[in-house]
Amino acid sequence: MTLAWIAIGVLLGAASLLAVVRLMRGPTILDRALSVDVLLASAIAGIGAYAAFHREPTALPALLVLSLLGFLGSVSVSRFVARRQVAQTTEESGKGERG
Amino acid sequence: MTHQVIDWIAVGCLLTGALLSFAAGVGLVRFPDLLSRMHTAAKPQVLGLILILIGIGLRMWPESHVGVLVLIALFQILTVPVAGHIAGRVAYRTGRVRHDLIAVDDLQAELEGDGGTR
Amino acid sequence: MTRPDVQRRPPLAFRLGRVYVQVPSLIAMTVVWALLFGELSVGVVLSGLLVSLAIVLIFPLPPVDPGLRLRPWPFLVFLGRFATDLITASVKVVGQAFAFGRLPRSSVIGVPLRSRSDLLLTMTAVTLSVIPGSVIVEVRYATSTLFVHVLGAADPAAAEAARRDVWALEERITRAFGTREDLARLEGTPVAGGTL
Repeated sequence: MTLAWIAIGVLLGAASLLAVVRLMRGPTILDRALSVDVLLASAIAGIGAYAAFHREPTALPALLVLSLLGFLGSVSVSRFVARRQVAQTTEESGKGERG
Repeated sequence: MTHQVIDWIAVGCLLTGALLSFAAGVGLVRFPDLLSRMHTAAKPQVLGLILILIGIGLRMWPESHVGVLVLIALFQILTVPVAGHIAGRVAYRTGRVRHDLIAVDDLQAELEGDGGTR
Repeated sequence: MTRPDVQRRPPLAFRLGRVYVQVPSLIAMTVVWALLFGELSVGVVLSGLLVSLAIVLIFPLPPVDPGLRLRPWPFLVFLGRFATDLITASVKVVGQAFAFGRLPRSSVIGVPLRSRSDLLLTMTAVTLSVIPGSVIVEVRYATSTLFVHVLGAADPAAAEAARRDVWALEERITRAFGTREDLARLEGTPVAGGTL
């Protein structure tokens, strides 16, 4: 049983680390927004695992807020990228992000 | 006795959910383009989260927090497509797609048909 | 639960000042409120109704007739298929993530939906997005065409299979929620290969 709990922690930690790798490698801001999304999903899973381990219902409202607000980051970044794309008509794909 | 069985099922759910999160991380690093990576991102957020919520519910078995858990799942299912669609649309239109890895592309012809404008 | 043969009813709404208050949204918000508190008591229900009334008055929305029917049995069929699809698709995507040394090939397929209902189109798109392995890239509203990025559809045959899956999904959703006209439209246009 203890081993299973440790495995859960290790897997979630590894997931966050991999998300951070993609966060640093990019190459575009959309990739980074996506990896923040995955990072957040691992955080939600981690808080959930904590709540389950300690049988601690006080963590549940935090989960609620995170699950509701998690999508705002990628939506706003996407809108930002889309608007910039319209502004500059010359396509410059593959070039890194600027913001 | 039954308590222990429920606990094991709960841990199994949590472990599977964590495994899905980990697979998402692997896919995020390994997949070649943004659109493919988006598939892996949607997965821990839906099935993984549902499994983890089931695990929480089972661990807190006698008390019921089912309401909050159902709400969390509902919000996630409603918000994931919003982010996914907007990001996918922008990703395709800004050319973040490895066309050499795409077998069939119906959209390219469609977009060229109207000059690639909105 | 509305009976399938009931034709368009007037929307359930009453007027309060200049704002139409829609009863279904009041009830929905009160249910969310009760779920947040995790109990069902008179105080919770009353305060929930009060809060949702305030929300409706402060942020008014135009009255909408959803034009949907709920048929219990097809709805259960849809939910069951959704659950199994969610699991099988997740397993597939996990397999692709761990298939080291091999990059997955994908397709972007255009699927012209047969229904012309906004809500059915939206529900199909949302369900597709939630299931792993398919991402909506573009929606052509005028022709109700969805453009879906399918992970792992490496050749035209797989793309065609994915297209038939989307049509089957649309059919399940229409059977669960569509009006008679939607169903008639579904049957009027035969699908290559046949579904379900």
